[in-house]
Amino acid sequence: MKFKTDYSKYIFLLILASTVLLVSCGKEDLKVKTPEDEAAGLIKVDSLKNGGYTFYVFKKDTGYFKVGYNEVYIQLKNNTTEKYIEDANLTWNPLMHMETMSHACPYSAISKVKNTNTLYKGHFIFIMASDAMEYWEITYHYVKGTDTLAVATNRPYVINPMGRLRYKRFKGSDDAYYYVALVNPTESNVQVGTNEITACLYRQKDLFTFNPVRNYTIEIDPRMPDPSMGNHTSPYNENLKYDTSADLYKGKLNLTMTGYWKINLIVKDSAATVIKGDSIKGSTTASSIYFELEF
Amino acid sequence: MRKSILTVVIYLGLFSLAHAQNRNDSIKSRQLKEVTVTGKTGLDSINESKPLSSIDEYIQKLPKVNTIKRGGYAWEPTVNSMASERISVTLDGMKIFCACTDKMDPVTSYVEILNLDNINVSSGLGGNQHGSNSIGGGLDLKLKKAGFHSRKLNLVFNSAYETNGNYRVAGIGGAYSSPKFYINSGMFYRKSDNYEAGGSQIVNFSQFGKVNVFSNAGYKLSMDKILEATVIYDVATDVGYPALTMDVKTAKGLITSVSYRQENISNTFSTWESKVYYNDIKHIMDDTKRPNVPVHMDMPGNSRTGGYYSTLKGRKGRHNFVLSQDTYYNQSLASMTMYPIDKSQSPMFMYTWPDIRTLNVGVYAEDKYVIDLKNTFQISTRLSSQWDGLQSDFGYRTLKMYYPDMTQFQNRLLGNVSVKYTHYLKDVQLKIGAGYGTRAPSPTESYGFYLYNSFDNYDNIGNPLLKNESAAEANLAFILSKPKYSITWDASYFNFSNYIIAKPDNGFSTMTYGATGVMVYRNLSHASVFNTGLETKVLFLKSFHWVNHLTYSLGKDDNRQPLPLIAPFSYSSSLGYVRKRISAEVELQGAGKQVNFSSEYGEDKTPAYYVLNVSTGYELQLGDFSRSATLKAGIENLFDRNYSTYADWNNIPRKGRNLFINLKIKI
Repeated sequence: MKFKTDYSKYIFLLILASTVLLVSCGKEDLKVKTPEDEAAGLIKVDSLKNGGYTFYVFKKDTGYFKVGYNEVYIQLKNNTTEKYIEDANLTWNPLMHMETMSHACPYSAISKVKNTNTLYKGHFIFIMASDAMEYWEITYHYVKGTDTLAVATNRPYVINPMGRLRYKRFKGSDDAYYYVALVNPTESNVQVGTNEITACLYRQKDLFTFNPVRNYTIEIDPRMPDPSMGNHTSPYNENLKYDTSADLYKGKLNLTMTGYWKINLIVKDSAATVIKGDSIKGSTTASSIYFELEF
Repeated sequence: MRKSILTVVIYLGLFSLAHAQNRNDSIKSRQLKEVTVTGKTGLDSINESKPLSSIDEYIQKLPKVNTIKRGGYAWEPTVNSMASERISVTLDGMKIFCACTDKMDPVTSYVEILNLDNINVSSGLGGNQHGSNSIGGGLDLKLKKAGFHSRKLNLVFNSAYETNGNYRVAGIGGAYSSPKFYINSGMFYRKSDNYEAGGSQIVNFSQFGKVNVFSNAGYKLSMDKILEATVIYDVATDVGYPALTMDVKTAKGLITSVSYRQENISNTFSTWESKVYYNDIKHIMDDTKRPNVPVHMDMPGNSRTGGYYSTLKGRKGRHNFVLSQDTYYNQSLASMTMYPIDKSQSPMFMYTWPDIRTLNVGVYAEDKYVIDLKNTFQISTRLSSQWDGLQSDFGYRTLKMYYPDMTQFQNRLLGNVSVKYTHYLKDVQLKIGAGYGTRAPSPTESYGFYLYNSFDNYDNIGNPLLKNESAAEANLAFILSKPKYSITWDASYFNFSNYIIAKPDNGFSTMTYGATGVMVYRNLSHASVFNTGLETKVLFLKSFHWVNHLTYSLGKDDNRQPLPLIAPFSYSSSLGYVRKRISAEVELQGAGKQVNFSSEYGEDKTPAYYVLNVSTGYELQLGDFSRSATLKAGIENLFDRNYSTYADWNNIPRKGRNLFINLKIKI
């Protein structure tokens, strides 16, 4: 019958359509974030293959290391299984080999990046640049319990960055050496208005030990030092306080316009004793320690 | 967003056009002449001692009006001692907003005296149909239109020269009228070098140049249906502002409108006019010619306004009423880029008007009730809803640093109501009025960012959390008119609540090189402004008239301290002679010492002054009645006094002796 033929045709079309829909929906639902997806947007600095494992080293901002704060991302692949390790215990050691001596720099532990399976994160604050005779050596370890499953070493070239100052080494009033580095805002996300400002602070114990300092305060006083601006500042800035969850110093930085800003700093210990830095008042127009931002 | 709102505005305008279909051609009612204004003067009458004076010079002679001067050009009008924020300035009912954050370009600077037929001054809260946010009063500049007459073509040539500043004026205008169609167009040119103050003291950076082109046209669709359109393009270039730290490279205004008017609709409704308008003002400041500029900067400003109004007028019994609905949408955008002395640094950029948007929708109603031959009662009211805020996220983030609680956009409800009772007794009129009204803060008061005021030497920051300003007004007038003389006395008192004014805030850091500090706009709990004026006119010996004006104003803030820019006691006295084609006038004009000055806002005790002006004119008939040549000449500030008034920004001195000659040929 003509009617019946038409009817079955419709049913056929309906089934076809739902199958197509189901398949496409299923694809969406079952889509798994691959390790490549997790590293998307990161710039590869190194791939270090050693035996059964490869360490992939990434950065967000540049494909190289520079003096100051470096946020570093790592993925670790088992070369035999071609699988990325999801529960790795990673450590690292940076070491500067100078002609007559060697030393380390401030660096963090390595931890898993939240909401990812294969991505790990940590930071270095390189305190000097590499040159022809002096080089940085970084050793990456993959350990399980007391066993070291993989080790890789390389000698990345650390350059002195162009642009404005985001890192400072200073001697505190307690005669210890400190290292303070600006994490955020970066050169690419700094904006007029309120910025979240974050920084890390380390104290040097010896040539190889740099301990993160917690429970200090980093006071900020942003200024426009151009002679035409009368050392203009912005209102309602919030000093940086140690934030446990981020393991960083966190505050609020207000910038009233684009241009060159000097973020003057005063570092105080938990007893509010000034470790380093100067208040801007009277003839003092800048602190001895500061960061710079320009946009 | 902006586009869609503009589209809505235009559609609404068309909507009201489409509904203007009510017709009743056979019955015509005559409309009662409105007398809601306090001053109404023809602009190019023979009685004008200097017909080609600038619009600024003209405006400052209007009753209750004064002008604040920052140079030789673009003076800011005030009404009842209140400036731009508290008055409305409209052009044929069109809202236009200046594009300069430093008030270098009042709306009046974008028109030319020959564009205008007259200027309606409204005082206070009452009877100001087009004043959306005004308390002190308003100026409505009425455009000159050739009108529908029997077929006629007129050409007018104008030229003037003034010795002080080597000031040249030239203009040409043409008007064609016919019963169904009219058009009048013209072009005007003004150019002045630096003027000299009394004692041959050159006032540097007081030069200016201006070109104005305009065209009005009207077409009668039928007996009582009229379509009219206006285009004005005004360009000022190289305008100096001796009282400020910057000059102006160009100030361009494009003003357009189309209106549809229906007359003699019915016994009750006499006219219904609907107008759609759009204007675009571009203002570019310039500091490149100034010596010793600590920091070079670019400061462009742009103000665009689109809107419409639809007004119905009529009479029912003893009621004469006006009903109107109007909407406007404005964008005010201005920025500042400073170039640091250290050339290795990036330029410093900020929005001074961070793309401020204002949408105002209002209704206005007015009724004049003739109780009997001796008494009339008038009531007018306006209600409007205003939405305003910052379209620029950059600008919003900037201001939010100062006001963490602010929102990007906000709504305000505004309104006013006023009543006036007039009693006629033989030659005497007695008027008593009262009103109450609110206004929203101006874009600068709400959202301005680091606007430098060179008068008080403070940077000013707006305050989006300001409350509406409100005022209660009481006014009184007494008019005695006799054939040979007349006396008019009037007084008005404004009692403000939440008066908006900038006050120093020590918590903020200056931005302008050398500025004293930062002021932030605040609401004062109360303030008051009082104005009174006396005018006498005497006619004698047929051809002579003697006119005297005395005015006095007083403004107090919540601490009973003087408000800034309030006129001291001032006077003028003029003796005129008009006989047939000859006219002559001697005028003495002056002011007392400014006793009540506000040192907080940079004012000082401006000394008393007087100046004497003389002028004479002759009109020559050329052939028939409509053709004539008018020659006027005179000397302003005859004794070359070096003086400045309370309204002269930073006390820059006014013009010294000036010889002028005006020639107008009409054929």
